[in-house]
Amino acid sequence: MNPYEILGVPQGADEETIKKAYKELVKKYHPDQYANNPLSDLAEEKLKEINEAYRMLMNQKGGTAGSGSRQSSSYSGNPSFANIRQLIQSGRITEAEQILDSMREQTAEWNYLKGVIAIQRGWFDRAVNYLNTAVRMDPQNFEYRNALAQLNQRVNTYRNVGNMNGYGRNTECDCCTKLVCADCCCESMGGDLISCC
Amino acid sequence: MFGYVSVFKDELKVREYNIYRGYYCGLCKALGKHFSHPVRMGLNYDFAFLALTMGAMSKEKTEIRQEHCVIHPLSKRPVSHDEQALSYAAYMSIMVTYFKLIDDYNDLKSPKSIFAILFYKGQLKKCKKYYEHEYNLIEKQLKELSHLEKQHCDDIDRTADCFAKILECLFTPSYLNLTESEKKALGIFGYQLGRFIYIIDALQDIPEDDKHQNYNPILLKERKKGESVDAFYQRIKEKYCFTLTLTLDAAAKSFELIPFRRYRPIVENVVYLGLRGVLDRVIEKHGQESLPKGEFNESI
Repeated sequence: MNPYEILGVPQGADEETIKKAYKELVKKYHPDQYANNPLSDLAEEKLKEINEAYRMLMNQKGGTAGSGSRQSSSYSGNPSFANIRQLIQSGRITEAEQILDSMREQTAEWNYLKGVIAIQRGWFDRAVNYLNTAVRMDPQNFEYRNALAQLNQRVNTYRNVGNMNGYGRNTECDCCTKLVCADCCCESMGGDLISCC
Repeated sequence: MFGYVSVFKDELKVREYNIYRGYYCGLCKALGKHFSHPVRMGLNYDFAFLALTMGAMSKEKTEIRQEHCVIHPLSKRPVSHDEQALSYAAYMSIMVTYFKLIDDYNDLKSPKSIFAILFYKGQLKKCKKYYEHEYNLIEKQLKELSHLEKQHCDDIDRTADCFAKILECLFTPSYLNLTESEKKALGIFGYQLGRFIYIIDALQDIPEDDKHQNYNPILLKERKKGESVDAFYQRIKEKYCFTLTLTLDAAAKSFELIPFRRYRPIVENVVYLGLRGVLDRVIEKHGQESLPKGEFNESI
């Protein structure tokens, strides 16, 4: 494998370029980004590849290579749901859902787990409903609030990529242009909107 | 239901834009070549994008030639000659359009459908012969969708799932000989794209569906009694913007794991800029304006 290609840097790039590219890729393929995602194992593979490529290049350059951190999530909650959580963790969401659907009581944790399964399926409308219900039923529970926060985070991350690549650039230019025009108009009438120009 | 895939033209290189347009014109020619001229009315950017994504999985160097065509005899336009991807997309386009027209006819008895079905029916045998798996799946999923509509299903995730499953299949053709991981990532990419198209179409159609009392799962689920369409739209637009952005994010996450051999910047433009622009426009204009076809070149 070509480590330069994997990190997306030109052949023979310097240490600073490599480090910067590495940081961005780790952020992109970090397990947190792919939490509750059916492609999490693929992302993990990709991250392994990236870490390996970085290590190779850093060893060449004689530097030390740290690796992207791997956080494992810890489970809390009712032990009777432990089996269901295991199934979800190993991607067996249909089985997990069947067990949940056979339960009579729809507790906060029940709603939370239904929400998690829905996220994995990509059924986001009901996912949000289930998670909101879980938080409403148990407002102190950090796990449930965190799941909702993660969804908000996804939306922000997605929009950030677009913004970094030119989305909405025109409106930002418009804003500055409008300010400059307003300042000129103001000055022509004897006032001053922006003192430094 | 089709024509939501777009590029954000300002952020594409001219070369990349020509490739994108080349697949659209290439699809038109492929439809004419493999089928017949009237079925070219099924042409849209969604299927051109399918062809481009399939082409992106190949290492071959595609020719983009400047050519004339029947509709534009005076000026030459870029046309792709990625025959394999284009013929595949042409067959898929025929099948999806045909079964969709059948449903339109059954539901709405629209005269346009009868006219179109006559042209498509003859072409179907060939489609079934070469792509039996896809043929059966498309038929099954659209029948299921029609069934849910008749039952006035207001579960948007479930109804979107019927259509999403079609695109999941279309984006993972056997001729590409995909590895398990490639198939998984492309499948989810297609699924989320299909989900996005279905839901945004439902949003876009709200004023029209309200006027003609047509089926619309969002209206069914969310509308309060006596609420005006405008007030209704204002109330629900944030919620649906959120769910659709999550859908785009899921498509993006899959995109990042697909090993494209070429055209990656074009697909990236669609995923992060083009589709987001379509979403923002639909949300902003309350479905009252028709959208530009295939591309736009300024943000709102």
